[in-house]
Formats: sequence, C-alpha cells, structure tokens
Amino acid sequence: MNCDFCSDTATIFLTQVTGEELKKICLCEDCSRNKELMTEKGLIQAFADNLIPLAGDGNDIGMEDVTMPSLSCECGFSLGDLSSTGRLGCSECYHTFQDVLEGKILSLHRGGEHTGKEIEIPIDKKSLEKKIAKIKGSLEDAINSEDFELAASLRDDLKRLEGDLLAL
Amino acid sequence: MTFENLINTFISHSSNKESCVITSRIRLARNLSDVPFPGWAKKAERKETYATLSKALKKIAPNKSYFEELENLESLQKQVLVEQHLMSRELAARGEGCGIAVNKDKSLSVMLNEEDHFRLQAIQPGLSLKKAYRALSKMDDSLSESLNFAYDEKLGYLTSCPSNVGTGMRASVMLHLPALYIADQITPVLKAVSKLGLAIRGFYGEGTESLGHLYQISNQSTLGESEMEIIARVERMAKHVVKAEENARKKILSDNPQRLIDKVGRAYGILKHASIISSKEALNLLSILRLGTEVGSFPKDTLDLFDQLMIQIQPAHLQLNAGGKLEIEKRDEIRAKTISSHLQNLHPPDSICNKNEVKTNNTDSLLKDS
Ligand SMILES: [Zn+2]
Ligand SMILES: [Zn+2]
Repeated sequence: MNCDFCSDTATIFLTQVTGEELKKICLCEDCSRNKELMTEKGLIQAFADNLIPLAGDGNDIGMEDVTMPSLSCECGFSLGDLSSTGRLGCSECYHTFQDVLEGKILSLHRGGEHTGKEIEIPIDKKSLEKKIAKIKGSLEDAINSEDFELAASLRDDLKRLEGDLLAL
Repeated sequence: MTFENLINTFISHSSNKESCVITSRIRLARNLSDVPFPGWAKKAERKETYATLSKALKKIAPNKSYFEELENLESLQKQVLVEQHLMSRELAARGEGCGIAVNKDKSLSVMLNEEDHFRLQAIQPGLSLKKAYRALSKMDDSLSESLNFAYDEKLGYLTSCPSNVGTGMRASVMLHLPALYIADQITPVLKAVSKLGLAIRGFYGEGTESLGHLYQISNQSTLGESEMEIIARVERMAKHVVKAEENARKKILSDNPQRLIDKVGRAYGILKHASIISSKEALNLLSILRLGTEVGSFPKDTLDLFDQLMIQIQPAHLQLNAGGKLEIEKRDEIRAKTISSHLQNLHPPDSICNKNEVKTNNTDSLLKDS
C-alpha cells in the first residue's frame, strides 16, 4: 500500500470521519508527521484514538491513560478536552498532563528540548507558594509509599524553597 | 492611527533584491503564566487578561500605532484586516476581550487573546527573516519586563497548542512563483519542500490551492532547534525555491519567449476589458502581469500598481470601498471596473516585444557562458 500524499510505502492507516463521510487515509512515516496534511485537531484526535503510533521507542500510551477521567488540571481542563479541542487549558496543563503530552510533543517537533531564547524565570511569591504546595503533596506521597530516598530529596527541595520564600 | 490610515498604508516591494521574494514574516506566540489560555478562559477571565495585556502593550507601543478591541470593529473591517494578513480568521470570529495592534508602517503587529495571549508578528519586505526576528525579539523583551510569560526550562515557551511550544516561532517567506507554475514544475517543488520538513501552502485561498501564484514556506517544528537554526533552515529552502523559479523564468525566455509574451498579453487584454471578473481569475492574471513587469514587458513602477490591485480587489476591500455589503455578482462587476480603470493608461506589453527579444538573446549568451 502506498502513501496517499507521496508514493512512499504507507505504514499508517487512518480512518477519518468528515461529516457523514468515512475516509480511509494511508500515510507514510514522513507524511504522518506533516501537520498540514491533517488539521491539528484531526491529528491530536488521531493520537488520542491511538491511530498513530508515537515516535520513539514504540512505547504506546494506552487508551486507558489517554481517557483517564480522574486527571484534570487546576484550570479545570481534562484530557477529554484535549482530544476535542487539540489545545490546552493553561500553561500548568503541560505539567499536569506531562506523561501524555511527551509523546505528542516529540512527534510534532524536531526535538524534545528547548534550545532557543531563554527567559529568566522570575521568582514571585505566588508561583513559589504553588511550587511548595506541590512538593509537599509529592512528599506525602513518597512517605506513604515508603520511598524514603525520594522523600529526603524532596525535603531538601522544600527547605530551599521555603528559604527563598522568606528571603522575598 | 485611524483604521483608514492603517489599511491604506501600502508597503512597496519594488526595491526587493530577489523580486520573487515578497515578504518575510516572523510570528511569536507568548502567554501569561498564571491565567488560562484564551480559548479555555471564561469570558470574564478573558476580559480581565485583556486588560493586563493591553496595558503592557500600550506602555511599549510606538507612537501613532493602531490599537483596537475587536468588539469595536465591524465584520467587514475585520475581513479587510484578514485580507491584509494582519488578523487571522480565528481572531476575526471573536469579539469582546480580544484585540489587534499595528505599528505605523505595518512592520509590527500584535493579536491579543487569539489562540495565545499574544501573537506578535513582524513583516519585512524581501528575504530578511533575521531582521524581522530581531525587531520582534526586542518587542518580546520589553513585554516580558512587565509580564510573566509562561516558560518551562525543558519545553521553552508554553503555548495553547503543543504544536507551537518551544520557541513559539513561525518563520515564513512569501514567494511569487508564476514561472514554476507555467513550466508545470510547481507540484514537484512543493513536494520537495514538504518532504524536507517545512510547510508550503498557497498564500491566498484555503488549503493547498494557491491564487496569484503566491506561496508561503514556513517551519512546522518549533521545539528542538533555536530560533536562528529555524530561520536558517527556512531561508535556505526559500533560496532553493527562488533559484528554481529564476531558472524556470530563464528557460521560458530562452526556449519559448513568445509563449510568455502571449500569456502576458492575454492577461492584459482580459483585465483591461472584462466587465465581470472573479477574485480568483483576477489574482491569477494580475500575477502574470507582475511577471510581465519582472521580465521587462511593463515599466518597473507597475509592480506597485499590480501588488496594490491584488490587495484592493479582494472581496472585503471592494465592499468596504463601496460602503457596504455587496452580492457576489455585483462584486465581480466592481472588481472588473476597478482593474480596468487602473490599467487605462498602461501601454500593452506587445509594444515592448523587441526589448524582450534583446533580453532573451542576453540570457542565451549568459547560458552559453556558464
Ligand atoms: Zn507520504
Ligand atoms: Zn491547566
């Protein structure tokens, strides 16, 4: 089977529903990464439906993870919203849905790490408090699961950040 | 600056070094760190964010900039801004809590609360992505003095859509490629570009259809490369395509100049004498006249005329000039009238036919030399 867009061998087969119509699309590896061929919305939907294998080690994110109902961001955004809009709710969503997004981001871009313009992350009180609250939560989890090594390192982080907060 | 002044400001491309490179654009997506993205925010939140964004922007906006909240614009005015590529369709569909700002010479513009909180855009004539980026990066720096942008050490700038994360940058070059089209080489060129990981699409019109033989090459990936690496990649590709277009022009002029002269003459005839014309047909024919100027069939100063007409004959521009909404048939009539009146004093191309032959001979000897 050949790719519908170029003549390379197709390795990915998509079923796209447009209105009433059911379309079958055959894609090669390259074209499947070309966002212009599919709308952003369609692409993310395809990822969510597990129609496109994620780039990298072939480690699948199962459907269960993608549609896990309990996971939602403090902004109220859930993974269901991601597959219906293709966009995120707030910048914190990147951390909330980190595991799910990692594969998507790798498949959309040439790399996974930012090497461009940098910004000095300003330490304001609000974001520091947020960070501290988050670490406190993880610390509790670590203690409950008896991961004392992790707990010790989290305690160090906590001490440092609380020091920063006092110094503000 | 008033809306009228804004839309009547025309950027000339007649002194561009490579005449088939029309403009270079850079777009940066930026978001505030502690509020929801515009598409997810509730109306009240979006309005509150708009106040923060516009306050910061007004502080750094140069004198005589145009600045407007979208709810104050008529739908026809928004469409005109879309046709001038100062506003996206997505933003035009919105109202309260969204806005647009443009500086005096239209080289910098900002969309507020579009897909991202800020979409900063810089445009430069010709192939000058670096210059556009420098101007934009400076604006970005000034804004970040008073605002906290969403940024992550690993992922860079955080954007509403994961496809823009990292640099948040889209670098694009607009090219005029009529000779590749005439020579039937446009499809392989487009395929090659997209195979190499860049996007290429028609500048006017939806999807892959291109009107006026205008194409835009841009990066898709925004993460994993620095801004300068992305710019270098897009620029390199643009230069390859420009070379292909130039070769196609040389080849047509040396193999079959009569074919080109015929095309230019027909375009001239139709545009000057038609009394009904669609924007699609008009854009494609004006593009051929533009090519005519570039190969010497018309005086050099007609380039601005043709470029200006390509903007003026689009639906919203025609309707705004006519003072209100018009049926499609009426638009096609007014469009034909507008074009023919502007071509009234232009001499037909065949009167400079001989000059073309001289040019052809020159090209021939050039080809032999190389
Ligand atoms: Zn393919
Ligand atoms: Zn969120």
